[in-house]
Parts: sequence; C-alpha cells; structure tokens
Amino acid sequence: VTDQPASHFDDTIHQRVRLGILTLLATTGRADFTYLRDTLELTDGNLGRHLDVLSEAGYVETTRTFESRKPRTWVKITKPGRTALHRHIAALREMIDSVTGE
Amino acid sequence: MNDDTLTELDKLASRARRDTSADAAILLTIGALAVITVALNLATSMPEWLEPLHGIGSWLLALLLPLALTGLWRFLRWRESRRGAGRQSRAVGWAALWAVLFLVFLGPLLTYVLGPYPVLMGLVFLAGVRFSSRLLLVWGLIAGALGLWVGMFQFNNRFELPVLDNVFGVAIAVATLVAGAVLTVRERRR
Repeated sequence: VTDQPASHFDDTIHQRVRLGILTLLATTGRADFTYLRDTLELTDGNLGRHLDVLSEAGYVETTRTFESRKPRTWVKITKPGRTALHRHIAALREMIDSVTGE
Repeated sequence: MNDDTLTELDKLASRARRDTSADAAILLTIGALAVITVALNLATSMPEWLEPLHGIGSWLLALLLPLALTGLWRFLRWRESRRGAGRQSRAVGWAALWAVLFLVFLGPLLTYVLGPYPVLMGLVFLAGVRFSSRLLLVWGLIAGALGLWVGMFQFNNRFELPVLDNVFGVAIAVATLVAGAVLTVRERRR
C-alpha cells in the first residue's frame, strides 16, 4: 500500500486552495494577503482559514508589517513547505501517469 | 484531483512568474549601460583629438554601474511592494551589494582590458540564476561569450579598430537594449 502514489499525498496541501497558495508562494518567494486573495479569487475569511492550516503545519510563515500606518500581511513559504509541495506534485504526476498509462 | 489540477497549477505558477519577472528591467538597464559604454569607447577611438580619452566608456561604466544597480534594486523593491508579490528583497539586496563591491574594485580593470561584456553579461547571467529566468541565463551566456570574444580581439588589436569587432560590440549592446524595451512593452500590455 505504501508504494501507491496516493500514499505520498500530503493531506494538508491536497486541498485545492492550499495547493494553489503554496504554488504561488513557491514561485514568488513571498506575497501579501491581498495578492493571494485576488489571484486565487477567495474571500478574506476563506484565505485566512487556509493560511492558518498551512501555518500550523509549518509550511508558511506570516509577517505583519505596517506601511503608511496600514497593516499588511506578508506570507512566505518555508523550506518544509517547498519540500512538501514538490513531493505532493510528484505524487500527483505519478498517479496521473499510472492512470493514463504513460 | 486530475490532469486539470496540474494545468491549473501551471497557470498559477506562470502568472506568478509574470508578476515577479525582472527580465525587462534587467535587460533594459544593462542594455542602456552597454550602449553608453560602447558608444563612448567607439567615439574616443576614432578621431585623433579624442585619443587621450580612449577607453573612457569603461571607466565611466565603473561609475554608472553601481548607480544603475542601486536604481534597479530600488525599482524592484518598489514594484514588489506595489504588486504585493516578489522574492525576498533582503537577499536580492545583499546580492546587489556584493556585485557592486566586486565591480567597484575589479570592474574598471576588467572592462578596460576586455570590454564591458564580461562584467555586464556576467551580471545578466547571475540575475538569471537568482530569478530562475531561462531568458537571462541564455542571454548572459551567449552575449557574454560573444562580447568576450570581441573584447579579446580588441585587446590584441586595440588601436587598429577592426570594423567587424565594433559591429559585433554595438550589435550586442543594441540587441540587449531592444530586447529590454520589447519585454517592457509586452509586460505593460498584459
């Protein structure tokens, strides 16, 4: 059972939105809350909840700054987050290949 | 989860790459510096009364380059802050600082002897590594190798001014500037 590609799936990032968040962060390095919300077309609450899950798993780090007295939240992918994303995508590709017979 | 998920992720990643791409700004800056350097070197090589100023473009480059790199870094930081997405600017800042220090001490000598391209295209190549940009990597390698070849030739025949060398030298500078301008226009259209 452990050799099955699905056994390499990470439950935390298997969720579509969280996979999207990590993909964006892996490419940009870091992004602010508004960029993530607008790009993924989410509501503030929805994005906040997903970020909490990723943060608890140690996959992202959030930093709150103040710019012109306005709060701004920056989100950065961590090393374990990047590793987990690469592993998960590799497992996804493997599973798709095994289904399509490539 | 299916093939669509991976396609969707690819789309997200390419959008993020577009939003944070520094290719246009880097090629435009380096292209402008190369044009100024090559034009000055060429102008001071031709008429006899300008001969005492021979190679002044390379020395001016040593002054302009740190300024240009600082400007570029400030621009990328400003854009990162405005768009809300970008690589960690602190790491980019340190890399720029080391590049500036290196160029201030070694740049003038290197550019005077071998022309501006080993330094300029070396920077384009390094930027390609830093920003994971295939375009910058390839541009830095090819233009750098061509520029080095031209520089070696000019070093050996410095005062004979072979026409072909200068044509190559000017072509690399203009092509880099034009590539930067084209990418800038394309980025603004998106």
